[in-house]
Amino acid sequence: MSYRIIRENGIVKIIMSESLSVNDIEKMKNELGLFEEITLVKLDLRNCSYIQSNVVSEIIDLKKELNRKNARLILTNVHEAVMQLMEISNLINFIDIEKDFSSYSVNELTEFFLDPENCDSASDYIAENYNDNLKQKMTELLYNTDPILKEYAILTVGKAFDRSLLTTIRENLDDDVGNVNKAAILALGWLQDVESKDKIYSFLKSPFIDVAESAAATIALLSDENDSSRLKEYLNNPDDRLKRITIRALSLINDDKSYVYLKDMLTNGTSEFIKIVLTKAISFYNYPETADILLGLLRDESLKVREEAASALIRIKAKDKINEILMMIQKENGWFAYYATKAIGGICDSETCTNFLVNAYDKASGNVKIAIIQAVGNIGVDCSDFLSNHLGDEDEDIRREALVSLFKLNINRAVPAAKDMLLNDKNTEVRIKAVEILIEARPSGYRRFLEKICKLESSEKIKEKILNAIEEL
Amino acid sequence: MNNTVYPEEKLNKENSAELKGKILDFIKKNKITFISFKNVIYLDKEGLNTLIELLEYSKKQNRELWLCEVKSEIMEFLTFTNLNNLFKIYNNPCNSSE
Repeated sequence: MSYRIIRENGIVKIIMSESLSVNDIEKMKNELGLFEEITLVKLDLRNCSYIQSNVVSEIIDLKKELNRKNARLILTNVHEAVMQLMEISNLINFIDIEKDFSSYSVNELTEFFLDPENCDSASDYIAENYNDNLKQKMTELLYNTDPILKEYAILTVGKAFDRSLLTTIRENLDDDVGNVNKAAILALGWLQDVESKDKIYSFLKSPFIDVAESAAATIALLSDENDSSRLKEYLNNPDDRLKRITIRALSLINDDKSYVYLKDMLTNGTSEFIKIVLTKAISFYNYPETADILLGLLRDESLKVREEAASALIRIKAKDKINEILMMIQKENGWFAYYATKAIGGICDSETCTNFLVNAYDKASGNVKIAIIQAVGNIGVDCSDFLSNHLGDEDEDIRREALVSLFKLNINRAVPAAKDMLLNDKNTEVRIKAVEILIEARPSGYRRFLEKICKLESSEKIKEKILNAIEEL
Repeated sequence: MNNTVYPEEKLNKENSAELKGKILDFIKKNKITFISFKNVIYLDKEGLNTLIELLEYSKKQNRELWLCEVKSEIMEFLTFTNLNNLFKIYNNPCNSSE
């Protein structure tokens, strides 16, 4: 026999020898027929570097037979050449393929550390199944001269929470290779090794920004009441990347001191890039004034900062600021009103907001009009009449967004509107949106309708959209 | 059986001790426990350290602890600390079945 079968509960694992023939599959089918209550069959092809093309159809047949028994077939550890054959025969879309590390010895498993595609999952597998043998191998690798093996051994020991190797991991902070240092820094953070913190500070000055980033993150995890002050000096570093990771670390520490540092930095002027990072960082502090600071940033000279502030107000659900924002929209126009309206769309869910925005529409400038149409859709209170009135607007962006919002609020009105716009609108983007809505809504007879449109359609983009959607269906 | 914990708004110094007790109960009772981040707005290092402790405990008990419904801003913290490599993260809505 060129295979062996291992059965555990409802799972059957079949390990093939070097070749896989039609006869093998036939024998397998017969043997599997003897088992009752199978839920999963794993066909391990790690020893098969080649299979004949006629075996492919037998595999499909085996899958069908197992499906009839409500069991799944998974091919595991498939070689590249076999994978290519499956791609050519289009089998790849019909069969589940995965890696099964349980088929490998300890030494074979750690060889995956050198394989960029499988190194992380091999490390996860070892950490999950950590035992004395694996521990011995990891210990060995911690002293290996290959930095990649060392790096992954450190990460794996960290994931396995093996504190008995803490001293060796600490020693790797002195390694010459940046990635080994980084792995050690991360693992020491996960293992909550406060004693290493002082040494980790030195890596904030590393020429490799990812090493400095891991140091900042680990310092934050290991921090006490003194660390915000110690990190503060890095906010003045000329390198914006180092500023960014320091801001993130301070925001993770989240104490009163770090809040003051970040707030001061925001007030005292800095680059647009850093201001965006600060805006997000400030929103993670649960202080009453946080929402006011974000509200102020809606007027920032940078549109990107305004956008970040609007997102942050939505994220912290600043409902107590709704009236204030509405008043601002009433008084002002332009970009400020645009971002304020976006914020309202994400925070508010009441009729008051919808009515306010609907009434503000006529006096609003172009971009704010679009924001209003989008916001009422997000608020969720039905204002179909208002939106329907704008399906014929001369601006195609307004027509498209009105249709999207109508679909969110009233599907019964959105579907006929989408059909009508697909037939009659002159703008391709609007018509593509109409196709998307019909596909998502799936009203009765929509497939026939789309096929009919497709036959008469002159726009290649619309045709492609419809054909792709039909193919997926 | 419900095996998903939904922390409300905060997973930080203000409530992590209380949440830890609650999640430990879930881990003891379920083979797989999910922590949903659907409602979490405020996260800090206390919250993350609590998660790490819970993961270590669950591994020792031969249980699984998954994070789910993680919003992008929260994910940024997990990526920053590389905890995305330590935790199993379920991107779809939390699964209440084991």
